[in-house]
Amino acid sequence: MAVDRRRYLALIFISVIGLVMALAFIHLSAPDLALTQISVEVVTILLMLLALHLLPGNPPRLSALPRRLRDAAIAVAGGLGVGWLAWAVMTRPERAGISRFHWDNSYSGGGGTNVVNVTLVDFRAFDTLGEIIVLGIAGLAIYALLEPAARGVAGRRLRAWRSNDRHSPERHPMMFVMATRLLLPLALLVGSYIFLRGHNQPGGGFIAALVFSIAILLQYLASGFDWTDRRRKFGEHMLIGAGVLIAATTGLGSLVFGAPFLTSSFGYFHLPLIGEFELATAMFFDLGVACVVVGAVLMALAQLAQIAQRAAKAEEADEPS
Amino acid sequence: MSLEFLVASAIAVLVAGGIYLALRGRTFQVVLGLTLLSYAVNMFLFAIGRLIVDKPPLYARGVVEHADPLPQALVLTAIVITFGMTALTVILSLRSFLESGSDQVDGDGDPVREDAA
Amino acid sequence: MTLVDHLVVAPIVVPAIVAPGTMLVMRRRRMLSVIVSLGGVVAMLAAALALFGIAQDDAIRSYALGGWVAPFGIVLVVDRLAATMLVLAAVLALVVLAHAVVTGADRKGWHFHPLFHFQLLGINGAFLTGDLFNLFVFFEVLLIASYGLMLHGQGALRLKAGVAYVVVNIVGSALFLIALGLLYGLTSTLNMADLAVRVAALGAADQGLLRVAGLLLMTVFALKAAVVPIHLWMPRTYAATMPVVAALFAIMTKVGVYAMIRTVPLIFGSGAGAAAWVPAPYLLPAAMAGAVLGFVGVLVARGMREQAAFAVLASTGTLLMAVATWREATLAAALYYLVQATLAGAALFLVADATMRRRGQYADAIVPSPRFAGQDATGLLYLIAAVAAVGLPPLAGFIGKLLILDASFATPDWPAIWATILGSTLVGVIGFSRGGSTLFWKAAPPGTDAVTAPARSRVDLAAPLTLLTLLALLAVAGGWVTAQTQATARQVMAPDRYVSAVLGEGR
Repeated sequence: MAVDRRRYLALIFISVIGLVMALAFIHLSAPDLALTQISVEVVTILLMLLALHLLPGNPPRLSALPRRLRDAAIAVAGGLGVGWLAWAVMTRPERAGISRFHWDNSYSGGGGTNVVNVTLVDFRAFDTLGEIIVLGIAGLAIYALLEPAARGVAGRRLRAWRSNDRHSPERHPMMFVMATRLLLPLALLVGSYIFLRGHNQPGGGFIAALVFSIAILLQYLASGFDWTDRRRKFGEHMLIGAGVLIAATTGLGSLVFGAPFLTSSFGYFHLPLIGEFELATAMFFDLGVACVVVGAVLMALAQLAQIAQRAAKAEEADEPS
Repeated sequence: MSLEFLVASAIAVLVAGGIYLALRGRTFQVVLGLTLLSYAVNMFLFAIGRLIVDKPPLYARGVVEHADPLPQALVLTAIVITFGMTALTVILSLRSFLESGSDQVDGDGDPVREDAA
Repeated sequence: MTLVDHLVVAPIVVPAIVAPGTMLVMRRRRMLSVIVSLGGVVAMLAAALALFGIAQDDAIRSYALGGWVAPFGIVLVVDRLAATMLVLAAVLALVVLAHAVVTGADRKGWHFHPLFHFQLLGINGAFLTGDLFNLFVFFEVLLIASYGLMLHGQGALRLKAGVAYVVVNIVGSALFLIALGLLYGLTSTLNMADLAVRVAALGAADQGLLRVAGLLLMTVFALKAAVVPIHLWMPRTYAATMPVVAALFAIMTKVGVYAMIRTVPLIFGSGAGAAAWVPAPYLLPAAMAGAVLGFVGVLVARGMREQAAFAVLASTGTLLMAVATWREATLAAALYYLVQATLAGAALFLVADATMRRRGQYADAIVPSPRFAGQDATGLLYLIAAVAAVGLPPLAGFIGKLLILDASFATPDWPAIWATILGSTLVGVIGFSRGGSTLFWKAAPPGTDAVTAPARSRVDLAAPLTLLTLLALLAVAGGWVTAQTQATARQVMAPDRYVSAVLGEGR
């Protein structure tokens, strides 16, 4: 149907915009941002594909012309306003500020050369603690919203749902399944690499966690919910809770030594064959961040995938009758 | 056309598109609009640190010119937070639709229903 | 650093540990998670009271997180204002949590206890932080926790109201980020004290942008505080929430007011050029409209929760009328009124909860119903809570309004302020009397269905009774409390002391 195709086109356009932004970030000297933008993009589009698939189709005319003109006027005014503000600030000369300190002390005080990452897990670790708590809460709220959705009014509506697309004859295409199963260990390797290098090169806990989550989500998509769920040993609630606890207790560790909350320390150790290796307590904090992100993303998308599955299962059960 | 003008106009277009979609009132449009708006605000925050080409903030002794690392860290935090909010909004609107059967987000009556009645 | 120095972090670390703790234990042993949760709130209250005691010496303490000095790292700042708000939040949290556990509200959905503690974490963080971006992060924490709590128990109407609430606040967050970006672009710093110094030093070319940034920031705080005309989200949301949760939300609007009181004298004070006292021309008319609309809402409300929500709107309006003149005397009155308004609003919601539990299918609709069990007790509590909320003697509301009237007499706008406060109070009295008589006095016409509700023990009346007792204490101890608020206002209106405490002497 033309209407549903328009929706998928819109999502493709959104992901193109996100990709262009990531390219802009690379060109404008922000490699960490580019990595984050791309990985968040993938997860967001996955989420929207899963969720919006279940929404009703659009009627062709949504509102009258005067209303559209009014909305367009507000939109243009807002856009011009913000654009002008951006231009006004960008063309101002740069003023010496607090980031000079971050640059100078990133290596000597924080133990890493990736100043952005050191800022996130050391200088402004408190912000990051708040940020992972936001993500964790989102995961919890999403679980609470989706869990009862199979029952009651929502459950009936789900069962009455009929997809407008033609289903592929192959429920789990063999090529897709094999490819994702081979990709999983590779993705985990890449994710670990990104995690470990984050302190000194672009990377870090958040991006690594998203890579992990996407790899696991591909298993859901390819091999189905039940197959993957049987093989997954850790629960998302545990991950979120453990992640926040790890981050908080890492921060408390410094209190034992008389230093303020969230003070980090680092040291360089010499390992045979590998050479000099840096170990920083900020890495444990990053581990906490990664745990919460994996937990929250999986909780959101796995639950959502399950809901579509439940609807499809109920649909299949109805078909013979 | 300077780089600053290019980025500023991109921000303007994204904000305008985002606001227009968000005002449409139906779930899909509102979610897309809020996504565009969040892209725009992230770009805005990033641009505040002034635009430098090809000088990433990776510390090495002797490097003099580099991008401002602090706005980048702020944008990373903002991306994560907005992602959490967007995910919650999508699922909340989905669940609200499943419960009530109406796709309207802004509280106005469902136009399809009113026509049919 | 001694343990006492580290006490500053306790209001944040305790919920950060208790919330995941309850989450991990919740599935297996519910009793244990309830005990841990209550213990956490008690610990938080103890820490808040200790901090309040420490702040009595009028010194402003700054705690550098991560060992990085201000303005390069994030600092937590404890002064009288922060300590007062922490105590208020902790007291409210304890009463609300006890009520939720006793009435079984925490079992109506998932994750009540973790969300509750995360909500407290966000509120405490917002009160303690000395960094503007950190304020944004903790605003987001408290917002998303409130989404989770608001949706607790679910239901189609609640979900619909929830969607509107979420969308409105996402727009607010976007505005906050834009304002933050502007301020950083102009001054290259995020620390509040450092911003104060640098804003005062900005040149003439930057004044236009500074004013825009100030206005945007104030708009965000006004949205949070439900100031007219961006107030509509609040009654709709609070009326659709579980009353226990709405009682906790009574402090959420006050976070917006706190943010204004914190940032305006400090950053946008007399030295801020074009942005000096930036909300001044708009705040007073908006606050007056809020007070009037709020009490009119109380008059026309169709449900007890809606009525309580409008009462909160009205009290925020009255409060902001006092704040809007930005003088020490009116600020002190406003702080007294803030404390009592929070407790009174929460009391109204808890009374609504107790009534709803007893009225069965009539829930909280303000229509006459047949006699229900506990009608006299809840009616009496409603009367006392209404007296507190509207500001009649002998409770703290009256003293609060009296203080505001007295302090504003010295300002040029006093005729308008007096007229609005007295007029809106009259409307409020009529509104609450109408509500009370309909709910608890009038007999239902014959032939209406009898109330079908399970028998409820009197325990759920303990929480609103506690809050009302506290309000009575506030009135009795009025002298001591007033001295406290005056000292706090004095500290707030002397930003130089804050700046030198955070950044070190000689700035």
